[in-house]
Amino acid sequence: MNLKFYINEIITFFRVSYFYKLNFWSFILQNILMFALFFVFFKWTGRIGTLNSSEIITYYLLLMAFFQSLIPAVDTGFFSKIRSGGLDGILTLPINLNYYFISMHLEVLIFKFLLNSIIFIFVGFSLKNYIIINFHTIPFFLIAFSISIILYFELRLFFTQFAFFIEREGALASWSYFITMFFSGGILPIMIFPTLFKKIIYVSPFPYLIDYPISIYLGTQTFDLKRLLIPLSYIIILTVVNKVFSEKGLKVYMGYGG
Amino acid sequence: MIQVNNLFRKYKDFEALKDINFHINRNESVALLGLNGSGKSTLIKIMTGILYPTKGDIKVLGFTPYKRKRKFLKEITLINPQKSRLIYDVSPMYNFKLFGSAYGLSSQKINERVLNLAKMLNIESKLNNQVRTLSFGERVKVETIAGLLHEPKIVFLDEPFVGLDFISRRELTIFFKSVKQNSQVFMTSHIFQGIDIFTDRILLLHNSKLHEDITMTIFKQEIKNKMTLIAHTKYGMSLEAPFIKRSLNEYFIVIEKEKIKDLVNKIEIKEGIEKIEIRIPELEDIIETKIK
Repeated sequence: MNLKFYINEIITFFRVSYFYKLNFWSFILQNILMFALFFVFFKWTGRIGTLNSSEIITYYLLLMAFFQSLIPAVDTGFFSKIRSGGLDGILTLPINLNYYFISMHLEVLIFKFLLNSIIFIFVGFSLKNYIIINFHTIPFFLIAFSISIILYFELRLFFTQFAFFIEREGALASWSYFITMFFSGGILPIMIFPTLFKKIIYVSPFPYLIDYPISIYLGTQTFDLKRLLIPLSYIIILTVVNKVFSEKGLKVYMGYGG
Repeated sequence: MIQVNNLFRKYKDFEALKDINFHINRNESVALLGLNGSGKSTLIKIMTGILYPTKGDIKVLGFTPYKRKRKFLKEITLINPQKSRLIYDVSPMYNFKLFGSAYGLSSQKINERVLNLAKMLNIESKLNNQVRTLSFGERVKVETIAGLLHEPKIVFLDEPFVGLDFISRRELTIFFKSVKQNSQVFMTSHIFQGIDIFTDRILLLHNSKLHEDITMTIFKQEIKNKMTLIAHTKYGMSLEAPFIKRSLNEYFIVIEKEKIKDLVNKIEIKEGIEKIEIRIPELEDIIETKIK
């Protein structure tokens, strides 16, 4: 593996992200405003389902952190890159396509993490009287969060690669995003839904992206290694499927234009 | 060096390449010519491993391109200014460092290569500007340098002259002539001017098929005793074969020098001829004659 190239790639894209820092700051501002809205709303409504207002506010604060960190490079233009033949330049380089996208993903994560952590700590500290601080669950939360980052990357790559096979990808792109967000708890916490619904959803990979790590942090679910086998299995399955998918996809890749 | 046998490529209902066969020897530089949509880009993309063929065999430097072996990709390059792989928000120098590292080149080697190539292309002063701020011609030069950093054995050029002004085109033509000293050049183009300077052979694609395969020496011999006669007619008046219609009121023919006088006498008496031009045939005239 040509490690130097992937490190250089991370550094280069880091510079590009820095160049578009205005976009980045507006994205953060948008999320903070969203969180402020949720904060006011849940402070006012109080308990929802099994969650009290502190748990809900903590949930949405962590969700804000997730949104900042999870949205990876494969979401931003990889779909259209396939459709418009934008892979041509990458395919003629002596590099591994998967590592290329992973390093792009890592760059986004590192960049967002560096800027976000300051904001996140600041917001968290300002709201310390309204949120739940569980120091003892943080290590388990971080393990679950790390798994969710890898799982999210594999899931998005899976949906994105449909662009190799279908003409109009826009609807699929937005639907797959909506499904991922809804069933992962990106809109409403899965833990507030009826038990049967929760049980069914928890067989899918989605809740392990957001709902599960936050539940671990809040203490509404206990950290269970057996349970982690589910997202880990999905990661292994999706890695294999994505590899086959990209091989098959490249066979039918059109390289339109030029 | 490059061996193509019974090659087909289908895009859904459209056959972009039909039964293509040719063999290119080591150090033979080739121009793949043809009109828009003739299949040139599809063929060059198959040769560089971007696309899979639907049927047939292809070997480049002994490798099967679509298997995309790292060793193969290190031996070739594809320069396609229409689909830039440059990162626009950083400088050319930053791009070179990134692409150079993909080939395992050291920073020192990259710097040496860049300075040498940039000097030849007269772009040294722009190496630290943001790519986005460069003109199209300058970006093509930067793209060219990025593609040549690793000193590839075969340089594939996909339409390198599209959108360039005549000065940039001339500069690049002379540059590619020097590239030919160390690498084999395989180029697609629908702009025919100047390509004879650095190519040894022409492959002409038309309607997805290989229409003509001719060496530049034979080609030059073929046109040695010929001239192009262009007749401008009044609106609505047409000339019969063997004249070829170029536009609404412009017809042309490439014929032997000794037959020019008779032909001019014959058409001059016709009403409706406004102007007759006679000139040395250009590659464009010959290609148009061959495909029409």
